[in-house]
Amino acid sequence: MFLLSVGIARADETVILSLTIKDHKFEPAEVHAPAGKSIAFAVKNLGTIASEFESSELHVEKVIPPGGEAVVHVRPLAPGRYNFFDDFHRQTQGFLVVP
Amino acid sequence: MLPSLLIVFREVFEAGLIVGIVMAVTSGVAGRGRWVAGGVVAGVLGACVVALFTGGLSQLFGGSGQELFNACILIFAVLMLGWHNVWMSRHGRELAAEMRAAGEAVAAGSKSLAALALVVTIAVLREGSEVVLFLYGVAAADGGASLGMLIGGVIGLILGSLVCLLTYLGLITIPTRYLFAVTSTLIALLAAGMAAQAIAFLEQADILTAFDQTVWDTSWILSNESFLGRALHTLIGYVDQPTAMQLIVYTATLAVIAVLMKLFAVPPTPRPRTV
Repeated sequence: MFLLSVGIARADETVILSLTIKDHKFEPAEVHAPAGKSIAFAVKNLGTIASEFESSELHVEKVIPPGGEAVVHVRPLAPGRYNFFDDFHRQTQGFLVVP
Repeated sequence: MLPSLLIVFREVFEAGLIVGIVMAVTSGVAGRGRWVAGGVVAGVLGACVVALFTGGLSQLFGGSGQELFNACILIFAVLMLGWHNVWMSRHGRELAAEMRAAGEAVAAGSKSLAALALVVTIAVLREGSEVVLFLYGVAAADGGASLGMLIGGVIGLILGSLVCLLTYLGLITIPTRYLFAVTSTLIALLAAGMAAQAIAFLEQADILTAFDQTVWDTSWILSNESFLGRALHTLIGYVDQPTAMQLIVYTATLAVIAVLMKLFAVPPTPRPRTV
């Protein structure tokens, strides 16, 4: 019973953060999520060339072809300000704020 | 030019470490240059194919295609590396004896070379596909900046290849009597690191969520981002914030390789007792 409730609770608790990449900018450039919850980034590449959504602090990396969308899952986090970027264009930066 | 140089250098450097290790591990084996070169060429071609099909691949398996693909080829590389170590524990001694007797390169049999060539292919393919996608984007972009970026990319490629050469030259200075132990250890750590990396991809795709607690945080000592951090990531699988599952799989990979090596090792011929 306990295991079942843990499983159900997990599925409901994923916070989904939607972002787009356009003209080498994340929109929005700063997102928020609560501490201790599983997080998923849904990133859509509205540009004409491939991007790589990456974050060393969040331990994710995924290539997003032009016009494509990628979902990456991040483990539950402690409060902090986490940086993510487009590895193919480092100036494209964003932050995840966990209060 | 600099951003392009850095990106290409980073990816080539990571693949270069692995190619350098494989070259050192196989030194003294006839024809290994051809096998490794073949692995690199296959990796480059594979990288182009993967880059071409990135869009389609990403959409497979409910959006988890990329992560599953990466995890699968990494696990395959782990099997190849593990197999090499077990093969060497069985045949290494006779191979070393042959080399001493012949005083020149000997044939190890194409199976062990093929396994390592596949590891090279996988390493080059994984890092290379990102380079191909990046350079294609650069070439497709408008403006005169493209030429500078492409030149930066070529310089990055040359510098990354230098890392490969230095790794190889550094390793072959190890005296032969220690070489087997050192290269077996390097290969085992490479395998364990790749296994943990495969887990990280499965975690990113939410396919594997068990034991995802962060066990330690050494990012203040050595960050994943730094060059030393990346080198250690490739060589020994260092991660500044590993999950429990990654550590479990890392340790299990080392344990399984060690056990299999012991199981298949040729027992030393007993020395005749003198009275």
